[in-house]
Amino acid sequence: MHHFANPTRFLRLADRIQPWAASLTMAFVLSGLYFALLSSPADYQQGETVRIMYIHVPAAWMALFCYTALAVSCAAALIWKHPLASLAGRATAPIGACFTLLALVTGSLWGKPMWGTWWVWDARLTSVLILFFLYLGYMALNNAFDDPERGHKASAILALVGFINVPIIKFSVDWWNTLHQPASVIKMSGPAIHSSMLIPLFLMALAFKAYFVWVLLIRMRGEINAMKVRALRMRQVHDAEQNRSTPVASEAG
Amino acid sequence: MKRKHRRLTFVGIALLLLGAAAALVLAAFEDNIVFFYSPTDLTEKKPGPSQRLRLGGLVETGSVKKPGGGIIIFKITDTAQSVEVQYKGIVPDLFREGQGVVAEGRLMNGVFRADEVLAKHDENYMPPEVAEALKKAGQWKGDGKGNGHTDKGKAK
Amino acid sequence: MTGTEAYFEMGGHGAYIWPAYGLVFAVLMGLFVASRRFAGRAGREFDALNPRTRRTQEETDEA
Repeated sequence: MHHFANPTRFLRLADRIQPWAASLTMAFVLSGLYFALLSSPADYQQGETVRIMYIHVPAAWMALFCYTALAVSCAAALIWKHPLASLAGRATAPIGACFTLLALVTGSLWGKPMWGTWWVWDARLTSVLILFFLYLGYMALNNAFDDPERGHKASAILALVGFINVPIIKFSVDWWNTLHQPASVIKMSGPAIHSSMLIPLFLMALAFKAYFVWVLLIRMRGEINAMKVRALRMRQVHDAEQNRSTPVASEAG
Repeated sequence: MKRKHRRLTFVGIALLLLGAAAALVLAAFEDNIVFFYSPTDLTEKKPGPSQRLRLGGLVETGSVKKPGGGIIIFKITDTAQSVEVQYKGIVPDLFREGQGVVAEGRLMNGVFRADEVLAKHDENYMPPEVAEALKKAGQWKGDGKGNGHTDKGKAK
Repeated sequence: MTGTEAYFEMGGHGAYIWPAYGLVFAVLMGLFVASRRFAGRAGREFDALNPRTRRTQEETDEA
């Protein structure tokens, strides 16, 4: 793993992975949509509205997955001070924020016809809204300082403190009475979803995961180049100051 | 000056968001972590008529009555206790006997007067034919009594 | 015709289902385009600043 911690080596690896991530995203999206919208049956209670689940649940999984990835890279950045870890956090947060927003809005669009309300302040919905604010807070804090190092450090601490929210989200439906239903796929007695509905669910989940890898690599490339630009600018300023301090000597030579 | 200004706005936004998150947590802890009470909770708690709360459970089979005028009367049960609910308005699609439901309103003289009724969905997803087949084969968990709404985990 | 209409109706809940799918597409597409632009801009800035990259980018990067 340490081998790819060098930015140039990382970019070369990313070059090789990216076309695979792109084609896997396309393949999973197309097959996922086919099963989600055309070839899967309606639910015995929800009717066609069950189709919203095929994007809502994978988006919610990605919201939690991205935050876990963010917390891991922030911990790595704080402990090992590796520059790539901070950049990975910066690159992950906007993707996680987008998935969290999608989970919230698609859930709302499911809730109106099924529960009879767009929104309730139950433990599950509230904790996911807090997750969204944590992503936004991380991004704002990361950019809040002139010295990017300080921004990385402050936002990494926020992200790590906020990680407590992830198990709260996962178990909120078991710990408290919520309007939101408990977990269906990951439970002791096996999934409570019929196989014809599990296929589109897993295909869309794989599509979102491949999309995450694809966009993450694009953003990492941007972050690495932006970091190099900062370093070059700093060196130019430094060189200019050195030249100014010894102008006569350099002209005479 | 400009840099300082920008930094200040960013820190301000971060603090604002943090504050909002903290406030939401506190508000949730206050009284909303328990989104609803069961009929048993209600009979133990005996809340006054001025206290707004939510009552959740299953719609008792055979208890739904529509006396007209858009009024619907039914019983919410947790199989141990049941409470009569009166509601005027339109109930959501998933409202039916044996289904999970959450009503919001006040308890007055033993009758729960709801001004909002929400349907609670369970964690089971299947096509209608499969549901039919399960019922026929006697594999149905709970015969419309406990599809895993209130006693989750015990569903299977 | 009526078959396709019925399909888009989605049993009366098309008004919730289609916006959900449309929004997911719009947000994920938007994030993808924004990420591409960000990476492209950062790459061009770096190439413009670094005199070495103007000639043979890949090889000199190694040093």
